[in-house]
Amino acid sequence: MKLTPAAFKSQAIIALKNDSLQRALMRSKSHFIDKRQVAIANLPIFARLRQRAVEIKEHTLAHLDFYLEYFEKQVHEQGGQVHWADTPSSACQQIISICQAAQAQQIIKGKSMISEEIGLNNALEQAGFEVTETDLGEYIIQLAQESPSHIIAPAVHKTREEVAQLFHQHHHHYHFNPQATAIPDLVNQARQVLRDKFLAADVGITGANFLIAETGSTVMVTNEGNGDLTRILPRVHIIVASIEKVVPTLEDATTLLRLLARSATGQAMTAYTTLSTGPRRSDDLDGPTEFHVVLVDNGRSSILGSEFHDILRCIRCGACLNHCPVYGAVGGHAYGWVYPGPMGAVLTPLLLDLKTAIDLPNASTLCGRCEEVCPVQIPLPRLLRYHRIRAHQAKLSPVITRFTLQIWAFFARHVKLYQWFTALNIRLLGRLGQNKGRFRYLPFLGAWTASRDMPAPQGETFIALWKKRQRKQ
Amino acid sequence: MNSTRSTILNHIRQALKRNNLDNNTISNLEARLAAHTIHEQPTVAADLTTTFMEQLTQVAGTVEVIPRTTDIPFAILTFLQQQQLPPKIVATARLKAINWPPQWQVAYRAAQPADQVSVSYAFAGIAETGSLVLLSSSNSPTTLNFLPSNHIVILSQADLVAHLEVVWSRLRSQPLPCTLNIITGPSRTADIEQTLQVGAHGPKRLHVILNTQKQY
Ligand code: SF4
Repeated sequence: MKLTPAAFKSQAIIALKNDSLQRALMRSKSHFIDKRQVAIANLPIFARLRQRAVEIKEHTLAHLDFYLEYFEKQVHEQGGQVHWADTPSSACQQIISICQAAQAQQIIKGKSMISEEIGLNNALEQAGFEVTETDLGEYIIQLAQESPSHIIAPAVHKTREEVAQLFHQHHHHYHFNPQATAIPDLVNQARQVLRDKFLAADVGITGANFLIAETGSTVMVTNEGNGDLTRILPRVHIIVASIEKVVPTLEDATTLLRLLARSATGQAMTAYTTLSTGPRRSDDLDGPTEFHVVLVDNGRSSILGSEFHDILRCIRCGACLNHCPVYGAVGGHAYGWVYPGPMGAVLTPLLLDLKTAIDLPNASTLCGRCEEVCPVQIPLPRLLRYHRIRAHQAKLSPVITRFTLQIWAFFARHVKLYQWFTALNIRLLGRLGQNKGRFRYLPFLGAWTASRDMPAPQGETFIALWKKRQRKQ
Repeated sequence: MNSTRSTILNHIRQALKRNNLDNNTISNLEARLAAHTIHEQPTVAADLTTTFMEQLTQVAGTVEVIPRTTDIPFAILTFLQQQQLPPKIVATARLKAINWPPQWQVAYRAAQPADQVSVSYAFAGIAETGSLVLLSSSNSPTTLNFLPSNHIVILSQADLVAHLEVVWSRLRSQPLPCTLNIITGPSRTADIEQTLQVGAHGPKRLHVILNTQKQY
């Protein structure tokens, strides 16, 4: 996947001017927010569950080595295999080797953000395999050769007309009604086309929402059932999961499940929650004959214990995206990589590098809604601020910003001087803006005044007024 | 590969500022696993059947309550007639004992692409969410749950539980199946314009036959 977080600003401007994207964003915003609201109102213990979820996640992270080894042992006992990968290329390479050993040609995939992160589709295609995404949203963007714009609704930016157009282009040998633009027809088309792919596939690759150390199982939640067909129809099932997905017990996972679907789509439970434990048993009539779990680190172990540690609790519910005013205005593609919104603005600089992604943590008003809705209480605004601090220390922020901040810091440390200077400024600006009562343009602040006016100061500074009052009393 | 494994585990230990865990901590962690404590659970009304049916209906599932096991074929027939489907089903081998009407075609095997209707047995029903729990086995191939457009699930009232955690504790006394499905309504997607559409890749209809007979 192309990495363009460095172009955030220009991508955001393009997104703001894209009418169909703006309509899609408006629609999805209310959809997700309202549904979550209702689901949570129906669950009085939500706050306590959140607390518990944090505790479970923190306990696991503090003993991550133990639980990963325990998980591995259980997978082996169930007849499966575990592969460890520290980098995206090592993960892709190991997956390619499994597919080659299975003499596979066709591969189907369930939705998996980690596979986007490691660029798996591209690697598999380069290695000569035919790869088909089966989640409807992922399938749509695969046809459009785009990347997901939302972690749980990858094609949220597409209108039905655009989908119809894409299907018309790619499904012509199926002779569907070329005029079909109704959503049920489009869903049905995808169902039929992908059915053939499911039945022909040699390998199925899915992600995992949780890994259960206790039993060596992987847990996957979907609504469409595509993940399940991906698991049970091909000969080989490969699960790609990052190392922080492990939890100790089935009961621990159950608590997280109660939060996940509600936070994501407002459902109490997604249509399909599946526990996959090893390959098919000797007397089973279906299911994969091989079961592989690829554990991917890709930077997680360096985030562990750092000031960004909290982001490892993320269960990828997408609530922070849905509630973010910046995401809501520019959509996912502007962020330029796999993870958008607040969680993406924290993760992307960590997984790529801060220099490339410096605009992401800056593109936030730190309004705090993300932290408020996050089911695992990740202090996202604080983590964004840590990035800003790091960027400042590494001198990645623009010279003019640092220079201005230095001047401000000087005055802030000299209180008398600060008061004198602000008083002077207020008097000056007050006089200059006397006529209109506002400024339509200010030097150096053109970007700020381009979309709003600055009110002219009235009277005196707060400190001056305060002192006057004190004297009177 | 093994070296990657130890690199990752070493990184983790470095990040956590410690070496290998001491025996004491390990036995504590093992005790936590063995205890598998149940955390906070939402309250579920005492009448599990009503709650289950309400929840199931909310997620677009349908349900018919039958008083006797011998009613199963009739309940299936009613569903097939409502949906205008021929009496041709692929079913769990647990139904072999049933006396099917002569003109019916009943197969006991994994599902195939042309199958339109499947019948499975649920291991449990969960009142909290209206979910069904199905375990894969030679009697109960997982393809039955996903390939056909119509999925009929037989659930004994005795197997209705309040929360998912009951299922976990029941499963601990037997080997885990290859695949365990928790099914909550028919397949759905909202991937085009956030518009809910039932019947994405899995079944378009999920019909539960709730059997209230005590002994069978
Ligand atoms: S950061 Fe929190 S709200 Fe955002 S996706 Fe992760 S868990 Fe959900």
